[in-house]
Amino acid sequence: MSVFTLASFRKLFLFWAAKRSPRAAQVILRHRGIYVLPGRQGLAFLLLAGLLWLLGTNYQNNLILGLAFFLVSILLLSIIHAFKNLLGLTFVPAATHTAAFAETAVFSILLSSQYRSQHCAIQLLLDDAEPVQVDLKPGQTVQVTLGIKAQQRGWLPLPRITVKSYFPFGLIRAWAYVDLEHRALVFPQAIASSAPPLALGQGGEGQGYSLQSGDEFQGFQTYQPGSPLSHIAWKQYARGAGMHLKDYRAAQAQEYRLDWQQLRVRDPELGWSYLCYWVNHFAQGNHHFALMLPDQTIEMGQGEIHRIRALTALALAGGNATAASDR
Amino acid sequence: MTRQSLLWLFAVQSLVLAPHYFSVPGWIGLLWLGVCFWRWKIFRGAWNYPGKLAKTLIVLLATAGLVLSLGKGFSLIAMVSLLLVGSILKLLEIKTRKDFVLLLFISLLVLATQFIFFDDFLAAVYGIVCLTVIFAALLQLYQQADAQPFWLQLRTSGFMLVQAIPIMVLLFVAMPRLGAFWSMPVPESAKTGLSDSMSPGDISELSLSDELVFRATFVDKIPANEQLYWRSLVLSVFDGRRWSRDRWREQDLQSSLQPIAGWREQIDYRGDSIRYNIVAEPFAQRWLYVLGAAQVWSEELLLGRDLHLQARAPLDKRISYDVTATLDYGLDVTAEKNEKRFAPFLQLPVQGNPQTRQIAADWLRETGSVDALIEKLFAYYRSDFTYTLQPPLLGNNSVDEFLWQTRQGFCEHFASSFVFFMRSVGVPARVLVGYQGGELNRAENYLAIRQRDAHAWAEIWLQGRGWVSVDPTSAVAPQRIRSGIIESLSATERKLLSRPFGSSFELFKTLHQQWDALNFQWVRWVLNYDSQLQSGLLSQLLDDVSPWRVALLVLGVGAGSIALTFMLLFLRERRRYRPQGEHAAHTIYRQLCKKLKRAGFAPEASETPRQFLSRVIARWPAMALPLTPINDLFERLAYAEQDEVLAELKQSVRYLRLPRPPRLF
Repeated sequence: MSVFTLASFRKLFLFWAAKRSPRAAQVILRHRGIYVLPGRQGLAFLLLAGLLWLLGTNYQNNLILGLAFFLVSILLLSIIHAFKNLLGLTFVPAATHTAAFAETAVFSILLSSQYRSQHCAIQLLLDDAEPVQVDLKPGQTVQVTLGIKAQQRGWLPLPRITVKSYFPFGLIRAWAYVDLEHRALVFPQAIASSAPPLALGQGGEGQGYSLQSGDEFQGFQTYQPGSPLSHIAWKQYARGAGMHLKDYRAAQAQEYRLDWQQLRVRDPELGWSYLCYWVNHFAQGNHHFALMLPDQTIEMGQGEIHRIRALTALALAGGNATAASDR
Repeated sequence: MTRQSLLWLFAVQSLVLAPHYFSVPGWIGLLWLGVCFWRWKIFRGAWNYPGKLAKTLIVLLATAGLVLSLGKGFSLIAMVSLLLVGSILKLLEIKTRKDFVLLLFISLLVLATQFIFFDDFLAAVYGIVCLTVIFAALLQLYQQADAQPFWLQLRTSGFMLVQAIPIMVLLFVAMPRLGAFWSMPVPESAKTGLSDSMSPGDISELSLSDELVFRATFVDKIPANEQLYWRSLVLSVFDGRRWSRDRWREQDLQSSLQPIAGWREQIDYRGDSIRYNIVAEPFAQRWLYVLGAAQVWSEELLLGRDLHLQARAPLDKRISYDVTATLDYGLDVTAEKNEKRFAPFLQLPVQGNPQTRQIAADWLRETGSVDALIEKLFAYYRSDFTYTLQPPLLGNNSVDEFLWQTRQGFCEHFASSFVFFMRSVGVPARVLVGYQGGELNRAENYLAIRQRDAHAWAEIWLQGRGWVSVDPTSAVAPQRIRSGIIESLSATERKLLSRPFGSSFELFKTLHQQWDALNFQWVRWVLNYDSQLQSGLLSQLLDDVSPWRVALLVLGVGAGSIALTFMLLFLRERRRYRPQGEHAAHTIYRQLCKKLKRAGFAPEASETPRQFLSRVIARWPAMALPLTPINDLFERLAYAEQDEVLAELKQSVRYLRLPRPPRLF
């Protein structure tokens, strides 16, 4: 019964707190959004002060009584300092990061203070993740990265951050909720399919595609300046046979044109996953590829930036992505 | 557990435990050193945490040590020792941050127990030092542990403690004081003092001590030194060598609140009354100190029929009381000599001191009156007696030997012989012990009475005059009464008295008096602040002490001071931040440009410092060596907010020496 009331009270409080600290592009902690309560250590400390008061009263010893009052006074003062430790903290979103599905999506946040004050041992928590602790010197700006597990394709909004601090003496817990407009992009889950959905006329069904890529040795080629060192046939070079390249299938950069229309699946999500797999596959094999999607086309290209562009397009393809970004 | 945390813990424990070594068995200190060493080895990875077996063994050993050195009793020392041993052994177990905090909390408890043994001003100051260190140790858990030097943490912690003082004072003043809930074991006082009997040599021994007995403040003028006879005890039973209290006949004690009846009607107060306050140091007996005949005295005290004042229970803590009294009084003036109650004051051992008895009878016959007899005895004292701290030892007939053979003695010899002499001729007489005189503290105008002021004198009852005080010492050493014991002794004997600050140096004496005055104020206003003083103070502040007014005071002043503290802290930092470094960097850059201008280089308006400096270097390669680091430092200061390079940049620009400039064209 009591657990139920406690939980519902907590829920009610969170709802109320959320209304007080709405989502914003930049969050500055003000008195409205900072909550202060004694922590477990603070309660123990209060108990200690009570014990000393009892001791002092029993001995009629004013110094012990004074010590007890001092402890109470320090507890009260800690409230001010705990509150001030969070006051004026400014949260600004920094660069947007991308994340592979089921890995950690990272959010960079710039943390600074509005005032010329020091902020110590500030803990940032996302849900149940390990807290990240930061110290801010006067005038300093610190970049903090928080991570959560990416579980859905598309824009992942930054959940509400709990900002917590036990400064100065660990007696008082000051905390606040920061709802920052910040997001990370989550790529679709890569699911392997038997063959890449290649555009008609370019690959299609007639032209078989070998899945074993990359490392199959084919023969030798004469050396071209700029070829990767790992492809040089050093053994042959050592024998004095001149500079040759070991020819791997992957080394011959082929061009592939991935087309969403060639996907033979009902579920579009599964389709994006297949495409994601092939994009990664071709990029890994150092192939040129293009990607044709319902709303855009990624032209033929190669390299990491090209891969990211393609995956971004896949992450945002279809209506789902926008739906996911609105909470 | 970081290295820093561990060092803080060592510091806290060494400070908090130190005062206890005065009272607890010494091996606890060794135990602490051993445990510290072990803990340090654990930290270095050399040794392991104690296992279950080792732990049990250590605890058993420590318990055995406690039982062996303190016995099985439930004394205060035993309890404190147990606490200390527990907190020391806990050090071996410290692993997590939680343990660390727990040990600091225990240290606060240990700090509190030291106040049971020491409560003077110095102890309070020491306590604040300990608190600062304890809270600095807590603070470093929540700060950039690596960068902060320890003194900076001490400063921050001290700063916070200072902010806590107003509310602490408020709570101290206004929180209701309650009586003790249950009795606690009290520290055994090893103090010296008057005992309830007196043998030859007792008081001279006491005189060697410098220990404070009580302090007296007078509402008006302080009476002359020769009037300051602080009565403590009246001794009337003599066994030939030792004077002791008559426990059976002293029971007629009266409180100030009782109506004046019975023997109190026999007190005849004459002259102006004086009012004084006495703050008596704790002492394991119940008798107190009173000057003159008390008319009104603090209600918790009792006045005896012989005008001595006593507490209801032994003084295990400091006590403050007020007395109104007259110095001139008559006691039992109208009584008749043959009354039964004078019999105890005529008691003498059946045998012993025959010579004194004989001579007393002879002298009374010669002189014919008691007054003349006293005069003759005093003249005899004056003739060839010596007042000395080191009299020869006396045998069984102590009075005879003193009066007719050795003729050297301290006040107890004179008082004892005088009373014996009087009793043997049928004059009721008794020995009074207490203190005489006192040191005037010029800083605060009070008297400090120390053990060395201990004194014994006599009282005799005369028909029609009642009890009269007589001090035979005044006959042989009048300066003892007029200006204190130090003046009355020979130079060699003075050296026997313990005096922490040689009063030969006026400066030391003044400093000592100032220090004593400070301690007295501390005792009066802080240590003796009780519910009575509290209600007095609060009624002055609020003119009516009702609970809601006090609550309002606490809430109002408390909230006010918290708000004020917050405002002050906040306003200090309210100014919006402008990087200091950037500003300073540009100032220094301008200085650099000035220097370079002398060599013929001036920055273009559009040139950044980097561009300008590289232009200089391109034209004048010799300058690459000093200018490249300057440029680097400048950029770190101005753009990377690395304020710490400011000093270095300043130095390098100031000491930049320009060699001969190159020919430019």
